[in-house]
Amino acid sequence: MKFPSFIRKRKDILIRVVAFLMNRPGLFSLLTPYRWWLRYRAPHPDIHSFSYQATLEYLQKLYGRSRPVMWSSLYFPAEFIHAAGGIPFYPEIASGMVAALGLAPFALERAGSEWFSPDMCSYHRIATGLSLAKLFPRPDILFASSNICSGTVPFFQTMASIWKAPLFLVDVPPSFTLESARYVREQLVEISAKTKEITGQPLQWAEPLRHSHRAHRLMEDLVRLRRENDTLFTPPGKNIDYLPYYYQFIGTQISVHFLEKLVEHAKKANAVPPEKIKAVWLHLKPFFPNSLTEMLENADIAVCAEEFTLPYWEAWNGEEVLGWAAKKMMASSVFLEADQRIAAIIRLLRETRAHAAMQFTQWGCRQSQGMNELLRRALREEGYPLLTLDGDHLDHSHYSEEQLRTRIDAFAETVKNTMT
Amino acid sequence: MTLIQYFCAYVPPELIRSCGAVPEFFYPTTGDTQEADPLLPVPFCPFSKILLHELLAGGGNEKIPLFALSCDASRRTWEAVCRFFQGPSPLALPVPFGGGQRAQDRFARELRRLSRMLLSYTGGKEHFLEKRLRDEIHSSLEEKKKVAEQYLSGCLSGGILLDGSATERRNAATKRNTSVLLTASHLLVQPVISFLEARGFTVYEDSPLGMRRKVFPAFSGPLPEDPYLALAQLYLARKAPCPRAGIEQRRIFLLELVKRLKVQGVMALVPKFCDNVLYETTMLQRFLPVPLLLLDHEAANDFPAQWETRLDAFCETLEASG
Repeated sequence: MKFPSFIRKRKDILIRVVAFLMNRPGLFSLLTPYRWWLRYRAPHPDIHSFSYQATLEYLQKLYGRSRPVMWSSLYFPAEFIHAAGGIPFYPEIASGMVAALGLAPFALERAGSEWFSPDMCSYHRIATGLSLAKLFPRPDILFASSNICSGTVPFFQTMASIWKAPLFLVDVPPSFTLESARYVREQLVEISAKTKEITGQPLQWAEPLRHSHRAHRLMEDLVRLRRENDTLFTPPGKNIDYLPYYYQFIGTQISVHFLEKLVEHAKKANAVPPEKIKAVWLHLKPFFPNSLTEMLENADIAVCAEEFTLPYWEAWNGEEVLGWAAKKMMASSVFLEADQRIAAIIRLLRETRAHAAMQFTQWGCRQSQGMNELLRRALREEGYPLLTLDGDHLDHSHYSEEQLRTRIDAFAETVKNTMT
Repeated sequence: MTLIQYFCAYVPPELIRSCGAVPEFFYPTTGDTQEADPLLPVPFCPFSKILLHELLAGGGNEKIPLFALSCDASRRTWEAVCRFFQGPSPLALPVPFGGGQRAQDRFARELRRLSRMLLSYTGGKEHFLEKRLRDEIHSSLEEKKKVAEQYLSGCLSGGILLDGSATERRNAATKRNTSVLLTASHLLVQPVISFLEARGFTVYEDSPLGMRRKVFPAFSGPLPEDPYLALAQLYLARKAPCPRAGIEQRRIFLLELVKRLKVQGVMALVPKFCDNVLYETTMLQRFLPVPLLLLDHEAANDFPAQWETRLDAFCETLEASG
């Protein structure tokens, strides 16, 4: 949408004012009374209130800059950042939140004005737009790993250039061998030393590891409960909104408390009614306001597991900590290598007794889209239909509601026929 | 004779030769993608689609494809080839990120692993392999040094480094004093060079078909004694960097090229959906001291007619400013 120039000017001024305020750490102490009031009003919050309170507390710490802000790509272990005394900021997760708040168009437009193409990943474009506008929190250090996708490396390099902050990149080989684990560990040793130089304190692993271990057990409990009880989580795919607790808060009490509540919630939840289609949700989902969940509910589709909320790594069992962190990073190849991912998805479909798999593809994601056809054929051989919905998780301009509805309804009809 | 077909500038042909095989660089002959279209998504590297099409349409030819796994597109294409190609099993060479010592050590290990795979195809013996490899590297070094010097002093312009492709040269009506740097991927390089040369421009190419494969500008210091380490260092740290090598490395390298070759403008052929190039494009917009023309394209091997007007307009701008 093209605004007249006087509105554009006002918008620019407004953004500058907001950026100015966002970069005043002292201002965020004003949130404290509000947080007290929230706690007073709901001393035993339910899962949604807890999530709201935890997010507020996090934003206060993040923009209040109470500790160094450390940006990270999705599969860099958050435990490392907590051990380093940093506040983790995962720009890809934050971009999802920005889209959920309906602010993506501004960020995408800002990135576009600096030649960031609409064919790039929208998670990265939003983070770029908000970095250019100085609305994201300034990083003290950036950590990235090469394995998530080949766009991550230049994206983080661009962020390092925009923010003029040091970037530590971990090169992660695709397949696990003792040699490759050693290679990743050596890089983490070097990065630990450099991080210590910047923060002036050694990494304190005890607490993050304890919390990570506990969170991992809770995640396993959750998976087991959902399988045994056929737990119905509503609305379908809601669990993906809780991604921060599965990634950036892992290694903190916040994640542990949240997962405890989620396990309790799962214990009380109803079972999936037999007439519903049980689907495994692959990859992520559109985060901007949309009607996808209603469409799924109307089509009688329940999501019985989400690929990205599984405990994909081995819990720490007392081994040498950086060796464990290296293994955790390499375990993410279960999302990234076609053979490993397909095998894991088939296993998940069997274990959850699901009828089908669904994936909302991300326009700018070559690594996940590139294996769609291999995945479809492999699942077909195993008797599982796969529905891939074309679109973009954050960029609303690729969204066509009627097309989605038609495809979901047609898919549900086909699957239901096979169920009967 | 075992023919190894490769397409990435990270693959060292010295290693292939020392294992008794013949390296053959893959030049796309058409812009066709029919065989690949059902297997790869729409927003995907156009060169990978052409490559996959040519491999699948060619049936079980006896050439062994060697994939440098350096980006998502190459990895996914390799996986598709492993599954659907009727010919011999394709080879893979994972390429680490970064050019530091640790990355070089890892790349050396990958090269050693690749040499064993190559020997299993050629039936060659591991005895004396290291010596053969050392000889190959040694004999190629002088050539590499000479090519780098000539290129950086402006003596190697046009499609001279693009061996294997159509070397059509149109005679320039009038030779002008304007020169441009053409930075590109695998597609449309030769047609654009021909077009510009026909208008009298001097063109320096920066593409994986020629320059990035053959120019090794960082020649200071001796190479390691271990031939695999030497190769790893040559191809990760001493070769002309490609967009995947890192935005900062490319920025420094391209600014140096602009300065040394005294070019008046830069043309960038941008393959749609290549993340590395798309990020580089944003960097070029911010840092280049000379005019820049961006031309994006999908799978094609013929010069798109609509480019003519844009190229002509850009050339006129360069001449006017020159």
